Amino acid sequence: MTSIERDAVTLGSTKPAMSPNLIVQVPPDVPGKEMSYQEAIREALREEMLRDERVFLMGEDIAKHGGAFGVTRTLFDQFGPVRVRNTPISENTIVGAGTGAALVGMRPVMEIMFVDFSGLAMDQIYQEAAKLRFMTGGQCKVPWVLRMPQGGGSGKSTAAQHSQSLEVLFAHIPGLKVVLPSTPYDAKGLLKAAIRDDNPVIFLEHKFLYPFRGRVPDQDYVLPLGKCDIKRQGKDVTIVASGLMVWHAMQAANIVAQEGISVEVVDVRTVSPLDEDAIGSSARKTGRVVLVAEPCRSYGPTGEWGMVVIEQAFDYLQAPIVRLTGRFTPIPFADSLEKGAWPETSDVVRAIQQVMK
Amino acid sequence: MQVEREALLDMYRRMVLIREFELAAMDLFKRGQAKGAMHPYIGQEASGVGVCMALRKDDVIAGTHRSHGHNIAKGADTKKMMAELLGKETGYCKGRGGSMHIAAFETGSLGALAVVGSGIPLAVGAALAFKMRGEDRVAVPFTGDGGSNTGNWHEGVNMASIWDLPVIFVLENNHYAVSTRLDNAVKVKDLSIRAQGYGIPGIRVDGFDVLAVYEAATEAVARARRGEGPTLLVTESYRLEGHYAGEPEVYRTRAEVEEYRKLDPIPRFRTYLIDNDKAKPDELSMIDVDAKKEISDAVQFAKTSPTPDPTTAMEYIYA
Amino acid sequence: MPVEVFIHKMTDHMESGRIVQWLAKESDRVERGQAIMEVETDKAVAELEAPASGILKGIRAGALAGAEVPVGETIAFIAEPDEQIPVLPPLSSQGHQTPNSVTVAQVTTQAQSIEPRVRASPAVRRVARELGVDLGSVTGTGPEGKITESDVRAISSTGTHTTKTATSTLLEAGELADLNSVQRLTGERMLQSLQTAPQFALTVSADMTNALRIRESLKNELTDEHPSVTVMLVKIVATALKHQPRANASFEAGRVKLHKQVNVGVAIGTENGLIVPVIKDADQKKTIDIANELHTFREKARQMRFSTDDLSGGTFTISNLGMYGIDQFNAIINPPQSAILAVGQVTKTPVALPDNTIAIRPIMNLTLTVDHRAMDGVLGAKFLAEIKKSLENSNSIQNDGTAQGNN
Repeated sequence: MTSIERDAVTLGSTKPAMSPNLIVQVPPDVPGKEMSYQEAIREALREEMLRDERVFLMGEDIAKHGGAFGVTRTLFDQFGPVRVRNTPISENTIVGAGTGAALVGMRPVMEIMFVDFSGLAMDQIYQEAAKLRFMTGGQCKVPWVLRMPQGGGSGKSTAAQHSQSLEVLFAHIPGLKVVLPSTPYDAKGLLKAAIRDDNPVIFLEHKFLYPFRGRVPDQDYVLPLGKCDIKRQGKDVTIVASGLMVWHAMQAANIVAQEGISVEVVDVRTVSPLDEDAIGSSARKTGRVVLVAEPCRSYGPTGEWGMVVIEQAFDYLQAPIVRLTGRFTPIPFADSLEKGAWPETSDVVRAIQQVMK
Repeated sequence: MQVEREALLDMYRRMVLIREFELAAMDLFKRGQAKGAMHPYIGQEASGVGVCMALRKDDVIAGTHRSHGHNIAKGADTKKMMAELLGKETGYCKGRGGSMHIAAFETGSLGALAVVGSGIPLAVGAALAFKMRGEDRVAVPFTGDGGSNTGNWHEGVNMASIWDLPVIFVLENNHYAVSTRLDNAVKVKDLSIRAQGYGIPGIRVDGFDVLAVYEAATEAVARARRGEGPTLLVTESYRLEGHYAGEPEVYRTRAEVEEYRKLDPIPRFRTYLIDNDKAKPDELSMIDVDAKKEISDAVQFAKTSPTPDPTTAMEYIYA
Repeated sequence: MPVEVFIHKMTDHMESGRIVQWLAKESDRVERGQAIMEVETDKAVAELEAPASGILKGIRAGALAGAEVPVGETIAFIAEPDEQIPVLPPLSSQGHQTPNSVTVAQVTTQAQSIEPRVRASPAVRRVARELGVDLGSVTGTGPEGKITESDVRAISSTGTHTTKTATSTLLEAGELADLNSVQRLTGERMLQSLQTAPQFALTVSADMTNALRIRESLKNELTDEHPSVTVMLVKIVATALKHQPRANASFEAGRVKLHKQVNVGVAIGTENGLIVPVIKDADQKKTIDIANELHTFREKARQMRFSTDDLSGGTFTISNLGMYGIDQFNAIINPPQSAILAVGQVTKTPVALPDNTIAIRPIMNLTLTVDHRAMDGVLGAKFLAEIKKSLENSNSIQNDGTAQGNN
């Protein structure tokens, strides 16, 4: 297995196109609206709160202010301060109180402003919420959703403590589920599923994706947790990616299509539980695999995906698995240093070419 | 405060039951027949019983690592508790939790919790749910002097205070966090004044006096049910056994322990009941004998129960 | 009711404690909580407190200072002065137990012969497995000699794919047959021999008149006719090798290794290819024994039942194609040997005698191929000449192998 480390000299940053045409999930003939990832999440919250009075929101500045990223805007006006509840700066107790409320039958959706701050709530997340059902021998369940923005490269230079991608920390804990949608359509459908799921779900939103637009059907729909989505069918190379990296993969796929290379893009969507069958099936089909994920290399998701490929598709591999990951460093502030911290479209293109050799 | 004779006998019974349970559990642990760790509540029975007697079945409590007493005070089945201590399938948690995680949801106990202070936010959340749904139920997290220093505790008290949640924060001050004396951990002598920092009432009572605890708890519960918000209730207690069963207690003198043993809540209450014509000696002795029998039956039940089937190891991870 | 005194669990993993000393003795009155014993745990020395007040009695035999006692095991009682207590058997004396020494499993590294890695991706390997193709027999046409799927399919006898290689235009018609392992190995070794050893050949013609007469007498003992010439040759060559050590040598790593033993291999044709069983210590064996051994080898050849021992250790090879009507040929040296003798058929040939008359004599050609690094032309010639001389002198081989004449 080889991993392509970023060169110090970048090959020209290629930001993924914001065009909704890059990823089309809802055909034009299906009645729907174009909306942003941020709006799609808000719609999901709105619909679920209307549907089930047990659903309520808790977090810092989510009420009138509408949340640090504006996701919960207008919900306070619609549902009021009881169900859209501002909290003091008490991440641990935001999650703990959410857990307590869930234990007695509520379905809270909590927001922690940045996934980077989840450290303050780790005890309640992985010691209590994840384990209570198990430790009590099934006497209770913890049906909550913890929404946290993550990811870097938003151009806001939020640096080391505000730009991380930490899904693996949660994916490692039995009892939690972890979701990372890449499009408005996926975000809405998966958030609804998460709210309806009876388990604690960590719902990670890539902050760079908030303005990305895409079509969303008018009709109510829920997407299944634990299932990958094939964003693009292909037969020569499989790319497994998540979050923002899916967009880079799709762009790269378009570029190499001109060289006659047919790329299949598998969007992981649910980090845990992982849809190993879908990854295996695509790998067996193409025999050439590129893994792209934003978290840094060491012990990141590409290690897990790579092993799944080996377990499921070893005898079908035509070439060593190639992975692209974030650099193993705290994220720097200066633009010149931040560049190259994460994989970009040009990196994916080169990885595809490498795996085709 | 006037208390019904029935209730008084019930208090006595619960305390004795806890005492017998803890003695039996300690014996099992000391002999190596029960595994892990066990934290006896001996000496603190009045605190837990006094509080739980003021609660309804649909009120909830959240415990600590020292919560056998809390669970029994709230009405848990001693058979299922003992079975859980021995890790059997018939235990409350089907052998998955053990002593430190015994939960009895059917009685309103959200469980013993091993991480100090972690029950505070859970109780706060439960209280939030009750208030949102317009129910007059209350949530009662227990903690010790050590737990009252955690972030869990301070964040939880603060949050309950600003939202006026129906929580009674019971702080059982037994003066030791494992080996750390209170005066090495907290600047103030009277822990109840911590309530002032949060704008809620703080009450301090003798934790060896079950009636005093009961009275204070009843008042706090009534306040909460009326929607007037949380109360901090500090019960001055002492644990007569080590932090865990079998601990060589090198951090305190035997003399100190013996001094506190004189305050043992059970003989004290017994004396009170007899002296005030609330109960006859042989009535109380019957309760003693029944309690012993109940616990010895529980031990038998636990010992003869089956262990969990290994093929079920992956259950209860997800709902 | 007597109360049991036992060492209780004081630390997480404690399973036993060692009695350091008793602080109270039999029949002492003790108070609940009073320290009655010092116990050493895995962590420290602690005091054991009396669980009740009363008389300490019934201290078990064996519960002495130094004794290791399991947690929970009753070692004494506290009871009323006149109370009966159970009588317990003495504690089994246990010295201080050392923790089980964990034997670290020795990881035996087996001497592994490292075969050269065949470069093929997992997918190609699977196809090879499915088609029963030995990857070692496939030449890779992919980048850096990697084996591709088409290479595998081309080799497979059931493959219907046309190869994409450049040589495909030459192999239009005809079946592609696998080499079996004997053929393949022989081919590889012959290639190696020609590529590494500078070989040259020397030929003599031997007058076999006398030799054939001896052969007649040998024939009476054996069932198989033809090998007799070979058998005689083995004996003669073995003797000659003893006289010319450089012909009984191997060229290894730049040096000539002269062998002490004379092990003569005889090439035998089988269904699967050429096999060379070895007659060990041929110089010391009687002709009759050599004949029997060769006979057994021919039997084994029919069934391909050779042992490794049969085929190894040869220092010189004789190859006789005379029975196929070959007059003369140059054999390729069998590496790592340094010479090989190729024998043709016996043909009635007109020869010029010393007195310039012509006679018809049975002539057999012997061609010695030599590795120039071990022997030059002169040494080779001398060696071959000795063999010819031995063949032509009638008395050199007797039935019982006793030497006469040149021996």
